[in-house]
Amino acid sequence: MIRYLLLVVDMSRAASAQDLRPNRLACILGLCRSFIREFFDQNPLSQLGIAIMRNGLVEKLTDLSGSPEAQVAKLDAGKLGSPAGDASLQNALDLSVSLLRSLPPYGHRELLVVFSALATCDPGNVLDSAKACKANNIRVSVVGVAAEVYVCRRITEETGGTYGVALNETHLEQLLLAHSSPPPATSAQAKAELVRMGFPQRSTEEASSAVFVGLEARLLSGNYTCPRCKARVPELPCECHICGLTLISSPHLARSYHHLFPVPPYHEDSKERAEEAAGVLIRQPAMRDEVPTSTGSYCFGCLREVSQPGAAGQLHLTLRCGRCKQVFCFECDAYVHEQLHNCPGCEFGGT
Amino acid sequence: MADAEGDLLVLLLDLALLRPDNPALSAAGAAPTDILAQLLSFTNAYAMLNSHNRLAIFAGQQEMCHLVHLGLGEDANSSADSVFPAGSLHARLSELVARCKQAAVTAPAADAGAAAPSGFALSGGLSRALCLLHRLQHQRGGRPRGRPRVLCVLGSIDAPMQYIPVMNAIFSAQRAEVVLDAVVLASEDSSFLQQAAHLTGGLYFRPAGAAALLGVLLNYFVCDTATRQQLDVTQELGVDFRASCFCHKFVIETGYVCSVCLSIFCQPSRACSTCGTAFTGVAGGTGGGSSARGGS
Repeated sequence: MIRYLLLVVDMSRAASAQDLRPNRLACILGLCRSFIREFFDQNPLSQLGIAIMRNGLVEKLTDLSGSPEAQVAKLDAGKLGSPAGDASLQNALDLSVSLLRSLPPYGHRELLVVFSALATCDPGNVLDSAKACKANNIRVSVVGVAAEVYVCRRITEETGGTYGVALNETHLEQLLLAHSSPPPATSAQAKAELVRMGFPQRSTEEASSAVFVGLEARLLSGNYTCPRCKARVPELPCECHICGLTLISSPHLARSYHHLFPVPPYHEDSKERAEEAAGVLIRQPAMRDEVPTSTGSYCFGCLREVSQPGAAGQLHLTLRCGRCKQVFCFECDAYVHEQLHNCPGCEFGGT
Repeated sequence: MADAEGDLLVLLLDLALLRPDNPALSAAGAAPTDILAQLLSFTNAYAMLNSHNRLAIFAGQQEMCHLVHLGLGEDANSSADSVFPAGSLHARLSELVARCKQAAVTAPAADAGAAAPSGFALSGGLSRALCLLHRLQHQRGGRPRGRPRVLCVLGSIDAPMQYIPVMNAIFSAQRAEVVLDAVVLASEDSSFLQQAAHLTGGLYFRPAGAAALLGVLLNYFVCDTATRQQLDVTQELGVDFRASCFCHKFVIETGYVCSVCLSIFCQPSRACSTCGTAFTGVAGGTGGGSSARGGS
């Protein structure tokens, strides 16, 4: 899914409290930086913007954009100034409505507020703004730092978001990073559409092939060519400034493909499974007995010695893939299912 | 360079480069024995550079990838073969090549049209290499000078079916800070390996002739990544970031992306074949607004 998320950080008086080290604001900013990186890692093609609440007003720090580095650079406590005044939830909700209203309907619109205060100081009725958010399909979630606030609970329940209050720094990190993975969504929230996108080629890095690139016409040598209108753009992902085609690189999309084709879980090995597997593996004589072992079997991924199923004094858990019937150790199981998302055995044309 | 921590290199070797019955090689005027000799010189040079250097070599083809050497320097009285692998490597690689030739002879019906042995199980080889590096990275304490590397020496062109698993391997290499390098001796560039080198900070070479192989290997790939930064390495290639469509595996420049599951199609359709969502329309890319044509 394609997500458009506005992150609002509370910089009211309450953010200077010191129950989180060194103070709430510094802790929150650090965690927001890692949240932003994780968000773009898990959600290619999504866009994120940042705003802060201070002195009863809300200020937009960055526009919605798809590149993490510019956003992370802005979240520097030194540049932002000190926390002051009150937090105004209504202003934050109104800002999100104005920013997210004009986005394409296939995107999921979200607002994430990191709330340190215990009250909201608003010019009008905050629940009316919550209704406006719901009308515009914006999902509001709040991560609280101080204590549970009733109005936050109402707003998040009405718009379909989540509200969590952190008990300590680790819990705060957990709550915040939970929002980086895509939320469950129904078709009522965003219409599914086929979006036309282009995959440009990157030019060579030679200094002699520099051209004028982008809307500001900067002279750059490494650039991308829009496949539709042949204009040059400086970086991906972006929209071509001439023809408006969304330009992305295939690695951006490929980051989320492991959700579409997950690796089947491995099962603990047993004598019956081993016998069944022996019949299948006999067809692949090249990939047996590669490493000398005392037990006779080794992990197909990391070549570590593993014990036979049912052997006395079995040290490590031995697992077997149901599809390709190869044996894996516990660490490889964790690595394959959490990071690699490819089963090494199934890649060799397993059954 | 007497480091206590040696370098860690996994070499993925395409057996198509060593088979005498490969017509692509004879067309290029390269002899498989010549290529084998160059590779063995490279492995010896790598082992000689630092006594703590660790090396693993996988040799493979379409449907298999066999470990031919694992020199981790673990046992104190390791034989000369486990440190300088050239002798045993020669024997094992020749045996593997003979086995492949035999397999091709006994199953000729499988490749009626394709007489040439081609294709390399890149996704499988990379997955095995990454699992091995995952284990070895956490074994030794201390801070190694350079990052662990996987060097792919291939003689075959890309298989579009492997796009997704190869990209998964590349991203997990990026996370683990493993550098993926490539030397390709084929008729065309491998866009998978170009992307791999670009995303992980590695080097990609397609030398003009097989005779240039040893020069490239010794110049760039014998030293670790820390030393590489001090070498003058000019990488001028433009990387091909085009994707392949899910329906036909064609390489496309513009395509249609499902907004729910992000799968790519070359032509618009009523529903997404991956996630089953029915589409309400097609959003173009004309200046920001979405032009949804109803129910086409």
